[in-house]
Amino acid sequence: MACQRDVIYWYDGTFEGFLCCVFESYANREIPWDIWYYATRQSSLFPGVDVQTDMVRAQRVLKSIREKLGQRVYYMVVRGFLNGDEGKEIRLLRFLRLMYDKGPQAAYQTGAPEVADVVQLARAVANEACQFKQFIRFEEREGMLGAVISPKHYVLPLLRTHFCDRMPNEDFLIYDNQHYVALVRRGEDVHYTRFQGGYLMSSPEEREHTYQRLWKAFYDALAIEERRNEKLRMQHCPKRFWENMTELKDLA
Amino acid sequence: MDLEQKLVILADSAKYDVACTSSGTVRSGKDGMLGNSVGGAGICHAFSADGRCISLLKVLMTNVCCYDCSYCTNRLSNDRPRAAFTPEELAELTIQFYRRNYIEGLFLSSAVLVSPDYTMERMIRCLELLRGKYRFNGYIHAKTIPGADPELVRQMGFLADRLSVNIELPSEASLKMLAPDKTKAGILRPMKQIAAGSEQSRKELALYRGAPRFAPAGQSTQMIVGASPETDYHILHLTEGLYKKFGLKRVFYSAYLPVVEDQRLPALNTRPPLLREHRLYQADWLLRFYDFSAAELLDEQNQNFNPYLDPKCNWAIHHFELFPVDVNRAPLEMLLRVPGIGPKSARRIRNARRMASLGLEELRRMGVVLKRAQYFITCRGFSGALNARREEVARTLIDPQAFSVGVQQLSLFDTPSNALPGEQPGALAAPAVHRLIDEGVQPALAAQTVKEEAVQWLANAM
Repeated sequence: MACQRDVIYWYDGTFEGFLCCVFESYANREIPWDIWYYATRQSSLFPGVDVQTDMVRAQRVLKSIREKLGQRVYYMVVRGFLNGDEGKEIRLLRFLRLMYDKGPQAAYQTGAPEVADVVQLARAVANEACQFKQFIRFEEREGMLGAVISPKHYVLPLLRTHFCDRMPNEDFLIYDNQHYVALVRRGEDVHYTRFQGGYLMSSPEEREHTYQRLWKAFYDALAIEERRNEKLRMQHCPKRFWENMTELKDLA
Repeated sequence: MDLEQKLVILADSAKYDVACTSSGTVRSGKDGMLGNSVGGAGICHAFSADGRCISLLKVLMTNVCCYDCSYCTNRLSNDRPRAAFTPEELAELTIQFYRRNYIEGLFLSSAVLVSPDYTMERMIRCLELLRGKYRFNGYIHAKTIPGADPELVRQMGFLADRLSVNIELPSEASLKMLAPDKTKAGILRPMKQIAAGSEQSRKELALYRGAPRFAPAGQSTQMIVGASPETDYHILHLTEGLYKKFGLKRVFYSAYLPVVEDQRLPALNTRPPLLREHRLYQADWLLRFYDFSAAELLDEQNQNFNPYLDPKCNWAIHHFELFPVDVNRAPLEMLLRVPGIGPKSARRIRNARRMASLGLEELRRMGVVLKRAQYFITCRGFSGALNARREEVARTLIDPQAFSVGVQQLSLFDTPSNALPGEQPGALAAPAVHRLIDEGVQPALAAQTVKEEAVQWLANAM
């Protein structure tokens, strides 16, 4: 039986790094007080352990999750890890421990605190990805479509399949300006690229301006004045999306 | 006339059409084509200033009309700017909007130019361009024109995902009075044809995979509420009949908004009955996702919805003998009838209780909202809100939207520009609240007064 220890695991912020923390926790038969990411290094009362990222260990944990706990739990953990909130790591660890104790069926026990936590983490990511499927706006520059997003969570992997399926013959780029990563697709090739220190796009052409103007005109024409309801609009399309949306930019 | 002007005129003419969903078809992308369809509830790409979803490029092919339906802004005798798209223009516009992720596809409707057949042919031409030349694989919703040749309806069905025929008004008498060029038979005939076409296409698809798909997302319709004297009871029964008889996917309601002066219609300053429309949608949801029947919600004695309670709550307080239900044992159908528990929560409960019995803490963690549900359930360690005072229960159950008159904050820095332009205080507020406001009572006070009366009434009724 693992015991609760007043120790903090430090890891490098990668998914593999997190899997090594899971390994560490089982190897030492302990549950740490918390798991922290190097970059947020701060002083703490508890002693810290640096967990080295070891690909072999990470693969072992990953294989075990997939084989012993099944696809459903695997996806919950992967989705949960994409969440940008603090404290996700320790919640994911507690969840995994419960799954190993009770079996993957326990993942349906959404009333248990360990499960409810991870369901919430994963749901927040999925919900935000959905919002970007709705609200991403592409601009065409030199034959390529480009969009900028400012997400709370790391949603690019969830957008990839959607947009690749939707536009099989378009080249496009989606830039996440919170995590400084772009999803780039050219022809058959799809990859993620890190953009350090921002990202510049050439200014749009006349044709692009025309379509943006037409879209805005359409958007404005569609509102029924007698039914105007700003609250409802904000409820469906929160203000934080506005700055990157063609039709709402001026109001943001 | 340039494209922008045309777009504005033809979007403005189409905006009173309610349907704007891209639901009902799942179709993955194909190499060489543009677009897919995700199914589920579809995707809304934008929300206009009135809070309504914009999923599709919703425009008319033309707003030049040879009919003179009195409730319609595009009627022949109404003086307003007219325009028409060419099929090529509209197809190109759809593709360019789609690529930029502005829309899920096209919603094409039209006024009747020259004749129903001529109009349909132009619309079909545009859809053919999209599906053929542009290889567009996204969503298309097309509206058939009443009185058009069945062969044209058939052709349109093989190009579009969803077809719709508007029944416009809830009864034949109202139709005769307000839309003399349209008849009940002329509206129901294409509906039947579409239902039969979809049915046949489904059978053929079962036999061989490559069979052409006829309106795979089915059909929908809409009607105007509040322009004619029908009761909610009548409208809900009509709705139920449409779902059952013609297999409709959606029925939409649109609160009548006076757009033209006419002695047969409510006066121009009439407020659109938005709360009533809202109640109808709530009831419509109960029919489709909660397994309610129209007869359970309204009857001969109660022909209209209670303005202060949502229809589900109203049903529950008239069936108090069936409550409280035990969340750990009650069948799914009964869980769905508990005020505050929706299909998602009900399914979560069903899945979770297999593993362990549930108490209030567990329900809360699962995301079940207990504010109203607590008066109708029992669970582990909770034998119901037995000691709750009737008035307190009434206050929780009553629908706050019926009394929302907007937040009016006073501050030293209040300038006129702070107020949102054109915003109507409490668009959904009950008619009684508006009546008091019209008599000069302060909005907040009016809402408070009506609310207290409603609470007292409900507490006594329980």
